[in-house]
Order: sequence, then C-alpha cells, then structure tokens
Amino acid sequence: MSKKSQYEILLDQISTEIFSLNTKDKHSIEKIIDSKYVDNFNIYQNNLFYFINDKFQSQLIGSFKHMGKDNFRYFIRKFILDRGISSIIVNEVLLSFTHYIKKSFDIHEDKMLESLINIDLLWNGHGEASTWVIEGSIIYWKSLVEDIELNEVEVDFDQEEKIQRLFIDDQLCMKKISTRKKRDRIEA
Amino acid sequence: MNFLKNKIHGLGLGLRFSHFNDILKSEHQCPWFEVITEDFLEHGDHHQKLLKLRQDYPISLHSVGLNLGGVDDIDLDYLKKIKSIYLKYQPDLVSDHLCWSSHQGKYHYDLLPIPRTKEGLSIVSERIDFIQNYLERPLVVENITSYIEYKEEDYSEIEFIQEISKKTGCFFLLDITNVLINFSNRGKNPDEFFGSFPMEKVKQIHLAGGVNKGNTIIDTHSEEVQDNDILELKKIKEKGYNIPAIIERDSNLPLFSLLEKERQEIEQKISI
Repeated sequence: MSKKSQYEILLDQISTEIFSLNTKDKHSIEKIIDSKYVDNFNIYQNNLFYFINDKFQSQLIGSFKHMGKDNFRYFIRKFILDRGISSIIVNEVLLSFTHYIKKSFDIHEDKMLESLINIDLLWNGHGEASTWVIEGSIIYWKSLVEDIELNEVEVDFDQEEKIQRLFIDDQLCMKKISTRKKRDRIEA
Repeated sequence: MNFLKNKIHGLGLGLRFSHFNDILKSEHQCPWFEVITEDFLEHGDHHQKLLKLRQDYPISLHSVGLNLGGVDDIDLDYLKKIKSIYLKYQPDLVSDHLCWSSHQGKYHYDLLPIPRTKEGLSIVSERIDFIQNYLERPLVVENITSYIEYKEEDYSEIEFIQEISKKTGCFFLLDITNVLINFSNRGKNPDEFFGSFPMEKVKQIHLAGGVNKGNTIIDTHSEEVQDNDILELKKIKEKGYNIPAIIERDSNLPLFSLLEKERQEIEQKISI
C-alpha cells in the first residue's frame, strides 16, 4: 500500500470529523485549521445532517409525522454515523435509510411504520408503481400528511391491501387494487 | 427534437423541480435556466419536462459531484452520465465547483474547501484535465464559500484560481455571493479579489441570498439576493463584461412567479 500524502491525510481528518457530526475534541481540528475558524467547523457537520434530514423528511412525510421529529432525527443521525453516505444519488441513500429504519425500528411494536414508509415511497415515485400495506393505513397516512385529526381510523392488522400510484386527469392518486390476509412480512 | 439554438444570455434562474410545471405553462420573461446535473441522473417524468423546456430555452448544466479536489478515483460512471446528459440536452456549458465533496467512498453532499497547497494544485489540475478530455470540452469551475482556512497553505484563493486557469485552460463561474460572504466573514474587502479575477475566462455568474448567523453569514440559497451582490454584478457589466448570470434558490423556495418577479427587479437594477 502506498504511503498517504499530506493532502490525503488532511482530507481523511476533515471527512472523519464531519461524519462524526459532533467534534468532541477541538484540539485535533486546531492542528489543521486556523484557530480563528475552528468554531465554524460545525457548519459542515450541520450542513450534512440537515441536508439529509430535510431531503428525507420531505420524501417520508407520513413516516416522519408518525415517528415525531425527535425520533426521526435520532434515526437520521444514527444512520449517518453507522453507514455514512455511500451514493451520490440522494434517492439511493433514501432507500437505504428506509431499509435501515425498518431493521432498526421495532416494527413489531409499531406495526404501522413499515406501511407508512411504503406509502411514502410509493407516493413520491420511488421503486415500484404498487405496494402492499396494512389495510386502512392509507387513511391514516392521509390524515398525517394533511394534518387531519381523525377520531378513529379503522385499521385491520390482519389484512393487507395492494395500492397503486397513478395519475387521473393529471392528478397524482393512490388506489386500492386488491386485498389479502396479512403475511408475516410486508413486501415493499 | 429541435432545441432552441440561442445561447444563454442575460439573467436567468436555477431550475427547481417544484417550478417545472409553472415554467412550462406560464408566460414569463426568464431567458434561460441552469439545470442541476444530479437531478437528472435517474430516469423519470422530469426528463420529458426538460426536453420540453429545452425546446424553448437555452440551458447550462451545473454539477456538484465531480469532486475536483478529491483523491478518490474519478467516478467514471458518474462522468459517463454527465456526458450522456450533456449530449442529450446540449447545454451551453458544464460547470462544477472548486471543492472536494466525497472521500473514501463517502459523500458529503457539500462543497468542502480544497487545501490550497502545491500538492492540492497539482491534484485539482490533473483532475480538471482528465474531466475536460473525457467530456471533450472545457469545464467551467466555480469558486465556493468557505467557512474555514487550513493552517498550512501555499496560495491565496485568487492565486489558486489563477494557477488553475494557467494550468488547465478551464473557464470559470464567478459566484459573486460566495466571494462577498467569504470576505464579509473574514472582515476583509473583496475589491482586490474581484479586480484580480480572470474575468475574460468567466462564462457564467451566480447570485444567491444567505443567512446571517451572528458573526457568520451562511450561504443557504434561501433568501433574496442582497443589494451588494446586485451592485457587484452591475459593476462587472459596467466594465463591459456581458456574462450570463442566474439567481440560485434552493430552500425557502418561493412560487415561481415570485422568484421571476425578483429576477425581473434585479434585471432592471443591473441594466446600464
């Protein structure tokens, strides 16, 4: 392995510090950055975090509102720290994040989240043109997205429905196309 | 498909997805649009819309991922995609930033300042050369906002830009707002920088609006363009440089009609 150049070492240090999202020891940065600007370094950490957070929030709006801001941000942060960002295409990273969240979040405790993620992805045109979700979850998703308080949402966790994304008169819609008894794991 | 043959000219706007339908449907005066390359790396309906837009408007192609100051191997798949987008939509120019943006396979989604050392100059120049040869056209390189300074550097920002110009023959995209933010954040006067910038090689100009966070202005592209930035563009015009410019707006995005109104107001302010 060839020896790293000074330039490469510098980029290693800066990149690692940014992906840590929080510089605990300023001394390491002070060795490479002019002391007048050390306090500015968190701008780059914030840029990374909020870029991802804002992009994903806009694409997963139902899931975001269901989880709540703090939980959602917790998972964004954890995802960046655990996985880093491995594609230049944001939507590829978004899909990776949804897989991560499905694995990390206790889906058994929160049976609705997986369906909400699938609906968010479908609505925003990611992946296939249809998806299986828990029956009734689309009504709940709509209430979340439109900030409508529903007294009661009829959800049947033992049934799944297949919903499709389509345009009717130039308007984006989602339509139920079939139902079945719930399987152990919902297919995306 | 027949594309408009006119070149980019005057004051245009950065194309944003949420404005697409309004741009295509409404009557407006915006003469051209800058298209973000990364928005078109994937397939989708938006390509049809861009083809439609391209019939009536000239465009430039602006990238954020060429990683000119990086040390990872140049991503040939990405470069291939840029070239195919270029060939498909025939923009007047292709630009990216004088920065690094990914390292060891991790993407920062940000424009990070290049350590302006002799080694840095050599790395950036070689990469620009490679990219220009691959794309078979000169690259247009943009100056960035930087919130830090490295401890050990061999060149000032303007010296670095001048050296890159000499070594690669590339062109430049002068981001007026980035210059003003950098100098304001350092409490310095930007006149010498503007005076030394290789203006004869500037093919495009950017204007944007940032946010003042106490001691530091952040280049958020979320606000209206400030008067100082407009004045600087006017000064450039008064010197005889009639360079196409755009307003960049990425967040806190207003309706297209409002952004177009701002564009028209700035257009009036810079008219000589």
